[in-house]
Amino acid sequence: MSSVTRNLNVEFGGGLEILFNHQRQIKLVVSAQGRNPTVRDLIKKLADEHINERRELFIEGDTVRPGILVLINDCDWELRDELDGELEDGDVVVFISTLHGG
Amino acid sequence: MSCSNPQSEVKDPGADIPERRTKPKNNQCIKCKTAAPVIQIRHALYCRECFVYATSGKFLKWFLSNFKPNDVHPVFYVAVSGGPSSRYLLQLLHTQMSPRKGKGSFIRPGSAEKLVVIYVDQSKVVPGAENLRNHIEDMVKDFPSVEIIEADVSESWKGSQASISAYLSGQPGQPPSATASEPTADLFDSTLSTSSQESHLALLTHHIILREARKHADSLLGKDSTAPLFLGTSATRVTIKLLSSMSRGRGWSVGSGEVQPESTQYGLNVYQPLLNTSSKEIAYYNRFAIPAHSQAVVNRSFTTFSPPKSSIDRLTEELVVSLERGFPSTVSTVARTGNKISFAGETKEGERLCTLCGWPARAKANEWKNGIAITKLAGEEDESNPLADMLCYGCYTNLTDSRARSHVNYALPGWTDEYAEKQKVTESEMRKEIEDCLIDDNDNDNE
Ligand SMILES: [Zn+2]
Ligand SMILES: [Zn+2]
Repeated sequence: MSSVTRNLNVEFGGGLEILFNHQRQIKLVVSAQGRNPTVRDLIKKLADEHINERRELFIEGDTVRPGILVLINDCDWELRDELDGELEDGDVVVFISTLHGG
Repeated sequence: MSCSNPQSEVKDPGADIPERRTKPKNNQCIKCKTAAPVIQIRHALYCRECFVYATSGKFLKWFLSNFKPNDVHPVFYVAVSGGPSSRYLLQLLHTQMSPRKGKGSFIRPGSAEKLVVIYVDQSKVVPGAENLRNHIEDMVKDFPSVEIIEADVSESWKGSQASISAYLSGQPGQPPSATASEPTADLFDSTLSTSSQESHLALLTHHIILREARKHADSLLGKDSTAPLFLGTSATRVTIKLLSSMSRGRGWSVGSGEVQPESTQYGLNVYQPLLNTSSKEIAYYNRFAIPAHSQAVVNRSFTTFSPPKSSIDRLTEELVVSLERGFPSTVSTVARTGNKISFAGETKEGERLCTLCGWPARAKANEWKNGIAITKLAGEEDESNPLADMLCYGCYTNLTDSRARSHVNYALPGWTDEYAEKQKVTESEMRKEIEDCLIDDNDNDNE
């Protein structure tokens, strides 16, 4: 089976950048075997490889914690199959925390 | 034939069983009916343009229901933390404070001559928090006329040297440096629980905002004049506040302005126009309509990135955002319920105000507490507690919620004596009450 890869631009907001080493934007590659990579793959990769500590504050099960919004190319992920949404090359995926949003 | 006429029934949104979040079926924006939607707010779908337009429109509608279109107020006060909600509120106020096109060639004036921003700096008491003044200056630089008042929350209980009630231990009327035993800790003493610290911080911040606005209005417009003060509490925040207040024993005072869209506090007209706006709407609007260089800044709080069980507020937040995700209409329902709560306590004459938070307090906070909690061991004497006569149950619980201390030993903000005076407690009575509190301290010195 061949590996399918996607180059993505990921942004963090609402204080979430603190968990990602204070980076507001990162570029990364997500891949999957024999199928198109999904948002679920991206979240797993972020939690496994890009958070040093307190990963439980980003991920819950295989999804993001409640209170974290996800936008794919500025479209609410709720309109795009959420975790199963397939990603395209060059997609911009934004994670915004609304926790402590005084 | 039916006995009731369903069309005449008033629909109570709270009476609906909340709908679980479902995958949207429709593929059209609810407003323009043509563009593909990009956002789901509760169960409605919007395209980007319609969402931004509808959000501003919701605010305009609220604004025009409270302010006449051609009135020009000398000043609007607004509390700004620099976070998403206050950033959003600034953006919406800006639309009403710049001259704009009216009917025909008529240019409507801005609704206020001047914006006064009140920023309470928490950086000296919250570990890791920053002073955001520079960011806030960026956020307001497009306003025609603006002034920023910056107040340091850590100053609120210091420097009030004439205050006889500022210190509940040490010599009355003296700052702690003048006392022999240096006994006073501040309200953020580490022996207090995180829940108590965050509750104190919210309380102090709220009072400082009101006091600074009051002071400014007194000198600009004359003593006891009134002016609008805007607070950017969102539906999500007010829901958290409502639920956590009740669990902290503040149920008694929750109907007196904290969760209402309009109230009078310190003689000012306090407006909370965002009580129907969720933090999700705010986050999306800010991303779509606010330029990158003046975006909101999320500052550290006592529980930023702490596990949910670290405090009452944090755990309540976890509950509320989970509800918001699973059942999107529940949070706005709770927020609307808060809007309807009104104070059902004693009449004005019998009403006692808490000397710390200023909200209505039930008589004898400790009796109430003694009735529901084990506060002493068998054989211990029932001592009278002057503090309990001054505070509401919520504040009393907060101050005595110390794992390491058995006696209250904290500096209270300088304004507590003003409140006490308003309640006609004479200075000597106050002094006597405070001296009663000092016994513990002298005991310690003799050990
Ligand atoms: Zn539209
Ligand atoms: Zn109180």
